[in-house]
Amino acid sequence: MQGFSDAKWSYVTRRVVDRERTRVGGFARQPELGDLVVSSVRFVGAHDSLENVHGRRARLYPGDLVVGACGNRYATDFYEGYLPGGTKAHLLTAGGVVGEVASAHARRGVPTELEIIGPLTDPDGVALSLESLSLRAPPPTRPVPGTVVVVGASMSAGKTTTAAAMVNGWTRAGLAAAAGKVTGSGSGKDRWRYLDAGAAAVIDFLDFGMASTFGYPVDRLRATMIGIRDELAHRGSDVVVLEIADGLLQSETAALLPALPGFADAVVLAVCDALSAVAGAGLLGDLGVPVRAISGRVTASPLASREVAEATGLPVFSPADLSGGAAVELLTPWRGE
Amino acid sequence: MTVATAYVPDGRPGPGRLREVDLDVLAVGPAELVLPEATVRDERGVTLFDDDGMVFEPAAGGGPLAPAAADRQARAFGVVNAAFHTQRALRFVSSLLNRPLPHLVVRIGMHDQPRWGGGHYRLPHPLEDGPVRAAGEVHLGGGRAFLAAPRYFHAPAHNAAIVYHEVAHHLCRHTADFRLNRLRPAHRQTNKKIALDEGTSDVVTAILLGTPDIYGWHRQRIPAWDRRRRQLAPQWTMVHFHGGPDQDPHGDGTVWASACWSARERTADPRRFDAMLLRGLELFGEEADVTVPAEQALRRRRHFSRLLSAMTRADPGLAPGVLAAMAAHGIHLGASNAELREAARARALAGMAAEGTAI
Repeated sequence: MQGFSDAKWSYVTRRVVDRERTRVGGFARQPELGDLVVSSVRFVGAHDSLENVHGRRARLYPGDLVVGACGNRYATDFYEGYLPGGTKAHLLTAGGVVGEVASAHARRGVPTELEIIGPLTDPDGVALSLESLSLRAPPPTRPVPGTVVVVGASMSAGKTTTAAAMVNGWTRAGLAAAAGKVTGSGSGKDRWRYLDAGAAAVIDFLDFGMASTFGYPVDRLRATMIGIRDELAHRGSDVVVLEIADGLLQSETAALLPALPGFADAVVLAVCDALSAVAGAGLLGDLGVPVRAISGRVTASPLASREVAEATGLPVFSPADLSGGAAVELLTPWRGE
Repeated sequence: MTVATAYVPDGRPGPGRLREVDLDVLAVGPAELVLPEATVRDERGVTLFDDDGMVFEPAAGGGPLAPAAADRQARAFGVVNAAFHTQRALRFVSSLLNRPLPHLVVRIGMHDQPRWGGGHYRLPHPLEDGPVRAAGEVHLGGGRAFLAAPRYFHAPAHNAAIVYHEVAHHLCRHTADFRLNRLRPAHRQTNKKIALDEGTSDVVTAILLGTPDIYGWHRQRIPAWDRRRRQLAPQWTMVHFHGGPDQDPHGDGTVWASACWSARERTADPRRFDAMLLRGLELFGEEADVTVPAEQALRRRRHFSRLLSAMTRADPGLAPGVLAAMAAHGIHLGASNAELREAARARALAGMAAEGTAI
């Protein structure tokens, strides 16, 4: 099985640049978070395709070889999954996170089943991990005019749409905008959204050695958040937007929030409805997080947007507003500093 | 005369050279300068002027990312800079026409919700945002984007090219009057522009800047071969003319502007060409058009050849050279724009066929 030239390489393997020299090895230990593994598809379930490193969704068939990375997943509207305990595993994301499903949203079908064949190794038989391919911590660099963080009241609140609209607004205003994703599960979807919006650079947790951030210590996530910002600033970005996945109550997201004062120059809260906006803004306010505006799916409704503005006293910006000029206004708090 | 600072055109892509200049000011308001020929005002409600004179720093355009004091400095500079260039343009015009144009009002910081980075010339119409003076107004946005290397917030009032272009529309309105606004009700003027209006405004801008690359500063990222750059030096000809009601008149106007610039370059005394152009605009405006229906009159007034004809009557001695230069751009007397376009395309196709180029 060492000739696996027909294997489908998933999105989470995008930092493997020298595929031709890789091999399939034998297990010397239990899989760990970030380990790159080669698996065979046994049954095609909910994920019937695999996102490759270029963003194309490659159709899966039983017997296909798939290269992915071991990880957990926390998605309230999809799967809860954990590191596989043996060779039987599931495809947790279309981006190639390999683990075992523990629970699923009622709307989701049975997961795609995998048989892990072995670890991906270098020519010397050393198992490869995302950790070993990770970016080194860049020198501390703060972008001028600033860093904006997008958080959401829940999953699917419109965080990525909000962040992408900001990137587009800044780019259209002539600024070099960059985007980063601090937490989440390995998938290129958000990366492509940011690039399409005009981002000059995009970096996510994958570049810092994680296929999925669920289950990593908070210190590691905090260091990653700072590392992503520093690396993007180091690459010459004028302004950086960072997206933190999931909702404010998700454990890792909640643990990162206290780090935002002093780090984020502005925070935008994406919500689906007015009540979430009030609760989220209150929660963030109690932590001293500088919430500058509300955005997200709620802005699809002018009436609901008005409710939010009246209830929170914060400006409410739709994606069109942010693309049109409001993104630049978000940077104005630094006036006079 | 008041000593002021402004960007003086230096023929290079960029805002020009920051210099001390003389400005003829009659009165100063909190954010307003009243000149003999124009009033220039920032409409954003911030007091910009006190008794400390008219010398301000551009402050890299100010803008939303600048400290408040720097933004105020940039706005004050914008008013002074726009006033200097407005006065310069209007005095250039009056020296060639031997008469002043009606008093012009230039309003800065208009239509800024959301941010606006452009400029336009407006006449009264019920659909306009608020009342507009009968003689016409120039509106400039407060700016919406940054220019790179070095970073500069592009405030239109800092850009002489935008000021000149809009003041030149005032010239067109009160000379050629391409859209026959003088025959329309005073409160129901049309603000629709035609290619001749845009092109004439561009070439007047080039004359005042001393360069054909009129928007080389704020459109530096658009290559010269792209019509959106509106650089007049490439040989834009009637082959590139689109025409029709749905086309952007700026792009088609570049053909006329480019031809005028070529003609001016071939004239030993460029100022004589300038006078020919402005007198031609006046003669064009004096043509009565009373014998044909209004729609037909308006259609005829779009034709490049008609303004060219007026120019040749304004200075017959200069006509042969100007006609030759215009012909190189596919513009000839006695034909409509569509006819000129089709003829130019036919010649281009014939030329390609003769050279063996795949058509």
